[in-house]
Amino acid sequence: MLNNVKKIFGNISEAISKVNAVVIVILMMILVIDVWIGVLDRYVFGWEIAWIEEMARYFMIWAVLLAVPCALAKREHIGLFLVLNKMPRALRIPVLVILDIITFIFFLIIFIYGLDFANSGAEKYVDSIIGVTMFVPYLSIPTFAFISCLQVICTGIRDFGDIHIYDLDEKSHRSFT
Amino acid sequence: MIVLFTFFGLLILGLRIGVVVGISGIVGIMTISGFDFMSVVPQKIFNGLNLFPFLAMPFFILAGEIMNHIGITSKIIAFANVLVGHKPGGLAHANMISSVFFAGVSGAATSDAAAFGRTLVPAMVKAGYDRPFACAVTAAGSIIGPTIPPSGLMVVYGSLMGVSIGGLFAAGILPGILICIVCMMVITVVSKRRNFPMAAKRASFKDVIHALKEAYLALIMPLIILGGIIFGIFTPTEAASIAVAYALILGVFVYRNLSFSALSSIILSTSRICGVIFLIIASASILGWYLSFEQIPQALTSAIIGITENPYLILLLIIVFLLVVGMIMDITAMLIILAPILVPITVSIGIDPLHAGIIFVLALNISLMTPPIGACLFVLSSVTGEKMERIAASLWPFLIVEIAVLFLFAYWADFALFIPRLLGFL
Repeated sequence: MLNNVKKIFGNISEAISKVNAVVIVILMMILVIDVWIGVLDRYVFGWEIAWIEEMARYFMIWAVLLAVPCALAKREHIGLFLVLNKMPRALRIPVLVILDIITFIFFLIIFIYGLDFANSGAEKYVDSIIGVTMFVPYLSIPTFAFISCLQVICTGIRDFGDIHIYDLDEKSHRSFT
Repeated sequence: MIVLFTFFGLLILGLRIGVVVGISGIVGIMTISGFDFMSVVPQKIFNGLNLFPFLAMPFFILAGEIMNHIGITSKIIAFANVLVGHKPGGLAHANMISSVFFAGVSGAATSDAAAFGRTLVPAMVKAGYDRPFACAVTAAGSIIGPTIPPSGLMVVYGSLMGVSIGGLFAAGILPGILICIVCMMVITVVSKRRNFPMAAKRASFKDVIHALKEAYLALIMPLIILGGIIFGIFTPTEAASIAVAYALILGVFVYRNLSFSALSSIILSTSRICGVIFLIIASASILGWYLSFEQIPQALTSAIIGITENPYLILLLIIVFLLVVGMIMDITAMLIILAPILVPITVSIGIDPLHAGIIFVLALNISLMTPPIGACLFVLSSVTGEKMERIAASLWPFLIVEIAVLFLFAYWADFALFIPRLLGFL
């Protein structure tokens, strides 16, 4: 029963990550092309396009923030695991659950206050693109926090008591169990 | 006090560092006036990331990952080996020289340690070196990459403190090369004493030219990047985007081993690396706001000046502090939190912010390989399967000479700032 539930949440986490990944790759590609256009503009064509730099900053913020839940799903965020590693399994499980709950609260706070923040952007306009408000870049904050909350719940249940700490290399993860 | 307690308590328990820093900031904000100031949190996250120079970081990481994928690493190592393979401890020297060449395409010590740990350490063990020594050489060399530009830490420091990133890059060249030289001296001494193997004969001129032909396209990249930035032709972000273009051209048209699906997964892994780093940066902005609201930097400055007014002693305290904190905390997070606190102190004792930047970067990089818990050791240990204690035992001569280089650059400002001055950054 528990294993089935873990599997279901693991699948949900994976599905969210897949969609998330596609969006990130597209955003990063646009970002790279945007900066290339900027370089060509400055050194070759001299069009003096105003929106290049501002757009690059906002695309970067969207891309890197959306990458946060992706890294959460793979538990890639670095931490100090020396003490955790030495704990007996019976103690480690509740500690890990508490750490996941704290992580959830962190992203929940960002989500709740991020909504107000995004709304506050509706009254400000982006400097270089006519008609676009700051709501669009500001929306990145509650969005990443919301997806992160989902990932913390899904991975928390998926890994319950059986956490893998992934190293820099995906293939060589060290198991806790 | 409660913030300190939260910070260290959660850190030791193993909470992700980005969340530790952010939660500590939030707890701090709550101690000011409950939930009243909480709207600062999303604001600080956004503003903390909204800096154009930061863009250089994902691009440098992306360029490095592409170069790794298309097999540049092995070509660089082969070239280094024909240059120095005939000396006692030849492959260990090649490891160091490769770190210098590799520096131009990478910006993080831990990823250098992982890449070399996977390729060079097994090669060295196969050639007859003992594994702890091979790991120690790799750990010692891994800090050359992020010292010689481009360096992620320098981008972060320059962006936050308003110091020229080009100037920092220029200042990183000399210490990087000097670290390589002193480590090679250590290798020579240890190799002679322990009779480590060397190549049977010196590579012929023809062999050198052949290896150079294979590797020169990789060796040109740092010249384009650094030349462009240091001579003021490109901004760091532009140079980084050109590095990506260059790596793509090599992968698609020259080596022809970069498919679209491989590129997608490289972009994704780069984004995830950035996700980890930028969450720390965003969280550090929250904690940073709390610290400056409570005027902690000012309090700390006066506390330190209260202990001693001797500038040499203050600098010594700062360096020791950085070496210790860098061992237990992520160094990017530490730099973001500590730079605004420590730079006013260093300015008050007459150290230029650019000079301070290079001291911070060097000290934090060295802390990555400092036993018992430096991150590079941790990575190497997990990649190679060697015990950290055994690596640490072989590492200490390298550590001593690298710390000596750090002190040389910290206390001899004219030497440290020689290249930035020469190029007109000061």
